[in-house]
Amino acid sequence: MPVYPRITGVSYALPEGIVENAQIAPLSKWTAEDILRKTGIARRHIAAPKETAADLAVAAARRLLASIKDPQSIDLIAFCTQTPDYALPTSACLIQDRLGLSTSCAAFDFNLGCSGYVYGLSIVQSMLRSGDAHRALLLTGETYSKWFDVSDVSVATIFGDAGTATMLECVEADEPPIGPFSLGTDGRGASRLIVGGSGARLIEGDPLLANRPDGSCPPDRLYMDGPEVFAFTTRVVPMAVSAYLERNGLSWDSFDHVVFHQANRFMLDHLRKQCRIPAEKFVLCLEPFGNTVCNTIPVALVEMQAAGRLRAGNRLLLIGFGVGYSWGICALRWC
Amino acid sequence: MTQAEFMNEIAFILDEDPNRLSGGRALDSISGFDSAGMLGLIAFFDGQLGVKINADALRAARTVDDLKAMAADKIE
Repeated sequence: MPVYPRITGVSYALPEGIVENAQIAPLSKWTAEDILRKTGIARRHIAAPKETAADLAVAAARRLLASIKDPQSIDLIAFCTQTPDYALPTSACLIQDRLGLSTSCAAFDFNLGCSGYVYGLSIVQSMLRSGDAHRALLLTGETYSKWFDVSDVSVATIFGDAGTATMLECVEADEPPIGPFSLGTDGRGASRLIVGGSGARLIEGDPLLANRPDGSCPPDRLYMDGPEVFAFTTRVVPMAVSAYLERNGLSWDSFDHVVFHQANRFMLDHLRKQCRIPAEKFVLCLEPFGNTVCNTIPVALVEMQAAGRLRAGNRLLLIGFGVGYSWGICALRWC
Repeated sequence: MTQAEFMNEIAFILDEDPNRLSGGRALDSISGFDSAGMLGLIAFFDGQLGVKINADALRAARTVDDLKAMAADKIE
């Protein structure tokens, strides 16, 4: 029987610091209840000043490793983050050392946001199927909070911090539990969700940072054109999902659960209606966490498991979309 | 969708008294025409009218009549 990669464990870690809607409301024209009603978010966990995305990913990984045999056999770490510890060296290298894993372990970061978990599954399962790795940790970690103040309610109401760890291993199976995939990109949306001064391209008059409709944003702050990001979502995601289903001969009957990136309640409600997804299959999991970027899908998987909602054999569709613009879709059979 | 229904929807989305909403009303005079209001308009145009609009086009709109024009032949 052939062997294919499957997920054998998922965990997450959250910072201890919490910002409630009641703390943000006085800085906006909304009440705490308004924020909950409009976004679906009640609170978000925010990293401490010295706490990083890598710290959260390490904490999540340690939870997984505590229950597995032979962690020294892990030979791949892929870490998705847009807030690495350093531009160099690679945070995954530091994580390898912090987790005490073998030096035979491959380790790399990849920079993606809300589509990152789906992209990560694609990358990691490809490396496992090729035989370049045999046992992998897909880590995600994000601390967008480093780039905004609570006074910037356009983003402070939405984003939270978290880290997750997913173990993938090859097992005998009739068909691949993970896949097929559909991945997409539209770089024309780059300026709509950006930290302009976060990299090497900090130049006077950068056209990507010019002509912001709602005024300037300091280069070390997160800028988001919320309405245009939403418009992109309505333009691209339903069509991409429909094309994926058609190309693979699937329908909503093919799935038990549909897990979108947990962006905000308003967007998710609209997507559910536009994609005509049965309500009982649609996963909502952001009220206690906020939008944790690449972490939202694995956090949802953990929460579903804890609630007894995920059973062996369940078929899921995962859809990540956002900053870039970037999007990814994959099917997943829970084993 | 009729013109009256369209205007009522716009008033609801922008949290404005429908009796105070005329075609010539300037959008920047409506407090609900903010980021949240724009999300509501984008969702309304997409979900109810099947029209994809982007935020830049919304920001270029000056009056309620400009919103009507975006709805084109979807309004009777």
